[in-house]
Amino acid sequence: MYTKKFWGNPELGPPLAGNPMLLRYAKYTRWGGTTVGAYSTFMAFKDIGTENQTFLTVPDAVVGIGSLSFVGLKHFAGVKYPIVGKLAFFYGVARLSYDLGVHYGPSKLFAPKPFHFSPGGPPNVNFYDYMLNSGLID
Amino acid sequence: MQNIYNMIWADAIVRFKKHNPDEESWKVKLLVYLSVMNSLNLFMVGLWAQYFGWFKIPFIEVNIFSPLDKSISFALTFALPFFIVNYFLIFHRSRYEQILKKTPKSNTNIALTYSLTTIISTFLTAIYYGYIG
Repeated sequence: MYTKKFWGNPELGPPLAGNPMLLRYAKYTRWGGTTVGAYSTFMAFKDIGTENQTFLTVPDAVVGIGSLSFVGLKHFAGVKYPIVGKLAFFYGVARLSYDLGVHYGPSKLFAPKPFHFSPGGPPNVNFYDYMLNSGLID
Repeated sequence: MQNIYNMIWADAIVRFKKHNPDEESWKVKLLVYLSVMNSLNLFMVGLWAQYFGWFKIPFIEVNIFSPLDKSISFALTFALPFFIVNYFLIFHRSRYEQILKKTPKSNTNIALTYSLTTIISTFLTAIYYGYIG
């Protein structure tokens, strides 16, 4: 009973085979391996190339490289591990969400914006300091 | 050099079609995947050059959408040139058909060997450069 529930009917396949929700979801994760692999790898290698490593650089590199390896195995050797692509897809979604939070999260929404006196002027200097340094006021 | 390049592409096309016969977008997938591999190779060479102080990798900086900027920057600097070159050398006017005719069949899985060697060596180089070297 349990075995049949777990492995499914031999004629109909596993219990979730043909599930419309999973099929719809699989359409988006089909490119997950290559896309997330390239995205994570590029991001990690850009960090390493510019010597700006963060605590997420190694996980990015590992996920990206692992994902690209399995894509290569699938393309050229016919070895298929769909779970790797899906895990990579989830990692990519989580990573993108984290980055969105870092760049556009509430802490950035309400943070005071630096004042730029002029486009060519010194950055992060307010109007009073600029006038003081330029000798316009005492 | 051209022979090796053609051998890798011919082997990649043959094996991809063999293992994924129903895949309709095989050209795009192969082009993207092998261009990424080429770009990783170039990055590895650049990283070693940077390590020895010969030059600094000139990344093209972009400011489009912050979470994707790094990836886009790397892709523009390393992957896009290979993408264009590979497209014109392999897929433009179906040049791959001539390459498949000219290139002798090989029993070695050259495409997979090339991919995995590239991936592992680039990963080790990056880890060495970023964290050990």
